[in-house]
Amino acid sequence: MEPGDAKNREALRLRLMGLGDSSLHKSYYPELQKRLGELERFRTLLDRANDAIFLVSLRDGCVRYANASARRYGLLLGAKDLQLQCLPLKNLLLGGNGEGVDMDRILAASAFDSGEEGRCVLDLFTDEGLRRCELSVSVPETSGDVHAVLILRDVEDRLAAEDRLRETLHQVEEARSRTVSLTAAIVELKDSFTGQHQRRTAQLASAIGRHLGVSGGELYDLVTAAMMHDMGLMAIPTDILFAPRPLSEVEWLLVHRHPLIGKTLMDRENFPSSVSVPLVQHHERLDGSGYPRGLSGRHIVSLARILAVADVAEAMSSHRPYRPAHDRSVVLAELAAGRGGQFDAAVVDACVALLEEGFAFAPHPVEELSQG
Amino acid sequence: MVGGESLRKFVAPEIVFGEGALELSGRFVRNLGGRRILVVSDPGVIAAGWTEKVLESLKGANLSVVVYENVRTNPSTASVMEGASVFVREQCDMILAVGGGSPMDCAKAIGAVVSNEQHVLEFEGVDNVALPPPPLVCVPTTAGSAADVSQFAIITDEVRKVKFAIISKTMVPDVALIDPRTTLTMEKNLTVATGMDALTHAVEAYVSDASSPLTDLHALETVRLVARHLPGAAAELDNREHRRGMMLASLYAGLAFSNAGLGMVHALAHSLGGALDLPHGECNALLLRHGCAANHSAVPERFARILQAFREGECMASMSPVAPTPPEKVLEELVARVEVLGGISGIAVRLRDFGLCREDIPRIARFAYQDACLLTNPRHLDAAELEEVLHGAW
Repeated sequence: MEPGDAKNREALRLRLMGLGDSSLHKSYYPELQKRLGELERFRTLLDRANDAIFLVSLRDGCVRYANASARRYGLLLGAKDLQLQCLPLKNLLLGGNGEGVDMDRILAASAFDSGEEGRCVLDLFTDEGLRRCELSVSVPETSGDVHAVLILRDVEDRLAAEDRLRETLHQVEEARSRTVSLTAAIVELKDSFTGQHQRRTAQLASAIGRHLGVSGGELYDLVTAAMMHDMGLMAIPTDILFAPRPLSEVEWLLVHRHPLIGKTLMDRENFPSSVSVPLVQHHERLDGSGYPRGLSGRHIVSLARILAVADVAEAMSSHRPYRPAHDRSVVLAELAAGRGGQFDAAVVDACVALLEEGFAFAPHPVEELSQG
Repeated sequence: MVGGESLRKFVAPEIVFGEGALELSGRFVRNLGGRRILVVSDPGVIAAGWTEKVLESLKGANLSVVVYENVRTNPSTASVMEGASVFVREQCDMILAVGGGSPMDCAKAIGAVVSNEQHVLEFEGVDNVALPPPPLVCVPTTAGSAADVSQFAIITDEVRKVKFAIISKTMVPDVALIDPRTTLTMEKNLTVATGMDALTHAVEAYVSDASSPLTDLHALETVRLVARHLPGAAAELDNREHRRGMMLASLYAGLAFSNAGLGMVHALAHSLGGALDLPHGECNALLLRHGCAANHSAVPERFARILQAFREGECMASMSPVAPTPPEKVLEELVARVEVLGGISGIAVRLRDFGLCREDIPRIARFAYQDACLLTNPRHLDAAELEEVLHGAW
């Protein structure tokens, strides 16, 4: 503003006298109120959090701040005003062993993955009794007193649900294992050759599968399918099944139905397709020469390819009523002949490697069935 | 120690004096950061229309207001606590007081309560308000209490039946908007009583053992202004010049006593006013001459200067020269003038006229002896001596 004209001069004069519209006396109050408002909002945010949040001085182990949710842990010992007195963390948090939990214990129990934040799960007393709580601890860089930020989350409900789920899954798996064992046992009662064949095929298939990196639930499915892959044969009349002679064309047609019969039985019991498909496909061949559908190439799932090789290799290695066991060299030659044609090359290679290493069939039940 | 080498401090709020100061309420409150304002006033001031004028100014500055008006003469602890709860409930962030000493003292105490979250009784005494209250703007409507510039807040404890003082630098308002027009609505009795309050402030501050050149200036000018303008203001209630003179006298007296402290007259007036619920100005008017008599021997030359200032003030009014007064006549002449001024409106001259029972005097003296105002009296007085003074005034 130029002091030139009279109007401006008067306005400037009033300002000089402190009577201008914005001739302010020094006051921090407006700024103070703004900051207080921000603090208030942050505090509301913190108090709204379900997780308990503590600010703990590492110098004396006292709690400098605790949000509203933190009261769940302090109720038993009567938390007081944190501004007025030093309240040690160990007086607030009571562990499952009845002892107070201090920062040393938390830091010792915590795993620091990324360096910044440590985590652990501790049993703590809350207003709902003893609960498993996940603790997150970090020591942010601040000037002055060093504080740890402690965030507690009650994970009791989540962990309990996980425990129940795991238990249920275990029970389901056990039930399936019992079904498979029972079925295999019945097959073995009626036809010890087929029964043994299924068991030994399962051993070999499991070994090939593991060799090829199959694991976990998939390996379990492979073994399950192998343990029952010939159960469809039980529907074939005994005189055909045990005939010590070449079968007629009609008889072969019957025998070729056994994968379909096996799958039908599985479907009735609601076995997953990850088990029933390898079973129904174990006589299919990559070049389309197999049965019952004459599938080829990518239509044949990987577990079925493993099962096919294991089936053939085991069958040739074993004694049959109508022929003696083949030599290992014959088996290897047969596999080599089918490599890349009838059989998956990688599976054949794995099987050959196992046999050359001297793979031995265990005399008794397959371990994999009892694993989770 | 009076004056000399001893240290002195002078605290005053930001002051705007003059006709039109009231209309600046909105601007000053807004500049201090207020958004929702607790306006503390009383029914008398509201009836006179001053509160409404302040509200207009605040609303003109887009500020929201909450009026707390349940304040009577000699504000009580209950009134303070109620006002504080209104402040909190209504989420106010600033206080403006419009009125005489009662609403202003009440507003000061409300501020202390809301920022410290303590009961008002806990602030009794000197420097017992830890956290500064929210900003306070005062618009005085009487010419006497000077609560708008002082560090004092006088509250009545209705349980003990005694007035107690909250004395703290944090009690000094942030802004005093002193508009002499607001005193035009005071009737004669209130004009004289509040004027006598201002005179008592000046006399006690001038003879205080904490007085200083900074406060002397204001105290003596107060005496001149009162001598010159109080009779005129009482005679012509709508005379703007006298009203302005008395408003200035009140301000000067406030600046003097807030920084120099008071004395035995105020100690007795607080105790008496608390016990009998009397107007503060009238108590002072009655007790002032007794205070002069009791303290004269301690600082005779100071009383002589007061008398001289009195006469200077009178001469300004009558344009006649000031003749010196022989020392032995000082007290007599001073007391005579105080009596004349107090007599304008027929304020009681004996304590018995206030309805005080003689048996109550020892209790009044005992409470007065504990009053912080006695700390700066020019000579030490014990409870028995205070009792003697009261008997003399009875």
